Order: sequence, then structure tokens, then C-alpha cells
Amino acid sequence: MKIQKWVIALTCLSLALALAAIGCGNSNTATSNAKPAESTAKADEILAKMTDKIKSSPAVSFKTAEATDRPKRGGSIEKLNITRDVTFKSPDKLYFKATGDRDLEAFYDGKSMILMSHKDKVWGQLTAPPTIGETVDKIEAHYGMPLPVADLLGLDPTGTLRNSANTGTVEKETVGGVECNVLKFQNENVNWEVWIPAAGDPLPKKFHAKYKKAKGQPESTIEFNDWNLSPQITDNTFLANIPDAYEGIPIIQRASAVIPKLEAGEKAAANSNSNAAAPAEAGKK
Amino acid sequence: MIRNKTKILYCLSALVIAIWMVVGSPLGDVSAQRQRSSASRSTTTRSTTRSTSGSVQHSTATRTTTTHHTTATTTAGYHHGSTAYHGGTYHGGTTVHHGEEGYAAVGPRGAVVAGEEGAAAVTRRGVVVAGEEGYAAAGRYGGVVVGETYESHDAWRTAAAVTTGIAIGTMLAHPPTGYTTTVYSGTTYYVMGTTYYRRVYVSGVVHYQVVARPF
Repeated sequence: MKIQKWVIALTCLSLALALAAIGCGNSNTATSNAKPAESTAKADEILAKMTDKIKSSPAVSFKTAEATDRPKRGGSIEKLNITRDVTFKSPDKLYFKATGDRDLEAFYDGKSMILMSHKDKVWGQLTAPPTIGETVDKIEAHYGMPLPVADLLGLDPTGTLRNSANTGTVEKETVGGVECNVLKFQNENVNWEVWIPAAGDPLPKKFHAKYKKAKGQPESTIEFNDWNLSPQITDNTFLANIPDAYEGIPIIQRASAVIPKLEAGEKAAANSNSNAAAPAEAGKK
Repeated sequence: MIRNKTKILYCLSALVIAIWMVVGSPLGDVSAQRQRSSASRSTTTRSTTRSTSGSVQHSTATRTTTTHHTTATTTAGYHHGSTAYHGGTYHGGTTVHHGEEGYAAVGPRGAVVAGEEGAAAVTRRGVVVAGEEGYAAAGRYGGVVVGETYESHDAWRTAAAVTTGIAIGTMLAHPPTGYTTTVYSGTTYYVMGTTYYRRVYVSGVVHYQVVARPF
């Protein structure tokens, strides 16, 4: 009788242990499947509030302090410290001025972008698409000038940060005395984080990204300051006032952006035996 | 009695292990997932080759790369009066250099960049600005040159492994040491020996691009 009780008790205990083990196992699996989805949704929600806030403003200005890696030939990394003043008015006006390890002022008016460098007293101009997002895409793809801030702020719909494959988490951290939600995302190409205040305007205070597939896996940290959602601007804010002493210089495109089209263009030229007007005459402003 | 209890314990332990093995360890799945995810790394293959036979430098490479140019803040290089020459792949009547880190530029003397609609982006001083449509003019109004960027003349010489000349289209982050300047048709040229450089923007940074003698 005693033995039967022992057997029953131990059987129950064993089954309980086994079921508990199975239960724990399933619970871990559920965590790895369900929790990331929930936390990603939460992170996306906070990010969407930030984007909505920025997009609902008629114009926006802010400053950044950027510490950015630039991969160099041979595999080494150049560390750049850049401060940047940015003003934009959606959908087609953008101005920024970069100082520090870069000397570049850029004016985009919906038709073209003019670059100016004051130390060298030069400027250049490129034709630009009609929206900020398209222009940001173009200057990165064609001219090697990435603007991750535009991607972060939702101005660049095809950027590498906003990715449907993102998985995200939300943590809390205090930055400069302000409690922030830290949204941490990762996708195939980039791990990135953004610090957004938990209360008040959901405007980013800090951003960090590691580009995993880029040569040298460069990282970039950007701190945001002086957000202004109603800056005093006019259309002149986005028009370049080029000093007479400044020399116009070409803006060079990346070969990868040109060569495939070059082939197509040459085929077309060969077929058409073009008699187009001399561009120096046709295109002078 | 004790022996019976021990047998029962062994049996139950075996039962637990058996159930565990049938169900499987969820931890094993997680680590497997981690291994799978870390294995998906792509590679980029550089295929630039150079030869220095005669006075022509040929350069070919893949066109699918998206690597960025390099810039530098270190010392400028030296130049020993070598002669600039045209080089590169002959491309439907157009001299074209293209490399992994190459950039396209308008040809010598600011030759022409025309848009698909026939509109050229020309600055007020007649300097041509390379735009998206630059390819359209290639072979018609002037050459499109795709060069590579280097920190300095020394860096170029080391990487290119040539000593006779620097190809048109090549871009340096710094002008060669000991240069002089001359202005022709509103463009400032940086001259060292018989090599002429002019300033261009590469990734928003001023570089010095080798060009043909402008006059």
C-alpha cells in the first residue's frame, strides 16, 4: 500500500516536472516569437508619433552634433566630428550647414541643390527631384552624400532605417536630465537606436547607428539640439546667395550611378545619331 | 523495499528524460536560430585590375558596388612632374574609367553634360556640373571620365603601383605638394609639372581631379 502511494506520488511529481519543463520550454519559445513582435509594435508606435509630430509642422529647424565613421581606402576608419544646422519645409525645401570636419552649406529649393564650401570658396549645383525624400535618395545614391537624419525623421521613405523587417525593443534611459524611450531596432543592414523623450514633444534627442554591411561597419552618433517647429523662414532661406568670388565646380557622381546608364545612353546616341543643340548653349542659366 | 523504490525512481527519471527528448529543448531551437541569423552575411568582391604597359592605364571593375569614397586629413603627396595621360576603358568613343570606388565626371575642359531633355547643368561661369543625366552626353559632346579617389598623390602612387603618370579622372583629397595655380576660362587649375588638377565635389568634399591640359 505504501509502495503504491510512493509510486503514485513519484509519478505525479515526475509528470509535473516533465510538464513544467515542457511548459517552460514553450514559454521560452513564445517569448522569442511574441515578445519581439509586441516590443517592435511599441517601438514603431513611438517612432510614428515622432514622425507625425515632425511632418505636421509647417517647417522645422534643429542642430546636430555628429560623430561619424568614414571608411577609407584600405579599410581604416576616419572619425569625423560635424555640427550641422538644418532647416526644412516639406515637401520641397531643405537647408543645412555643416561645420567642423566638414565645410558644406546646401540649399535645396525643389528644383536643384546648390553646395557651397566657404574655405575653398567654391560652389556646385545638381539638378534635384521635386521632394526632399527623393532628393535625399538621389544625393546618397548618386553623389555619395548620405543624410541618415532624413531617414530617421521619416523624410526618406526608402531609407535603410525604416524597414519592415525591423525588430525593435523599448527601454528607458535618461539623457541630459530627460527621461527617454530608447527605441532599438535592427534589420539586416543596420542596428540603430533613437532616444525620444517619454513626455512632451516626441522629438529625438540622440541617434546611433551601426551599418553592418557597409565596409568597415561604420557607426554614427548624432545628438539633436534646439528643436524649433515654427522657425522664422522665408523662401530666401533655401536660396543660395553665392559670393562673386566663389568658383563653380563640378559635382562628381558615383560610377555605380552612371555607368549602367552610360551604356544605355550610348546605345541610344549611336542609334539616333543625335543632333542636339550644344549643351553649353542649351543649358546656360 | 529500498531496492523497489530505487527502481521506481530510475523508471520515472527515464520517463522524464524520454518526454524531454521527445518534446525537445527550446533552448536548442533558439541557439540554432542565432546560428542561422549570424550566417547570413553577404560579401562584396572587388575586381579592379590594372596594367601599366606602355603609357595607358586600364582599369576595370564591377559596377554593382555601393561603397563610398574615402577622404583624408593627412599629408599631401608629392608629384615629380609626370605627364598626365588619357587612360581607361574605351567605351563607345568615350574614355571611361570605372572602378569600385570610382566617380563619374565630365570630361576634360568641362566638356559637356546634357540632360535627357537636352538641358545641361552649367554654372554661371560656364563650368559644367555633372548631373544624373551626364551619361546622356557621353560620346556625343565630350568624354565622361570615371576616376577613383585617393588621399594624396603618394597614396595614389602606392595604390596604383605606377610611377609614370596619373590618369585623367583620378581625384585626390589634397592637391599635390608644391603646386602652382593658373586660371583659364574661369576655372582655377592646380598645376604640378605637366599635370593639371581642378577642384570637384566628391561626396560633398572638395577634391582635386586630374584633367587634360586645358589650353
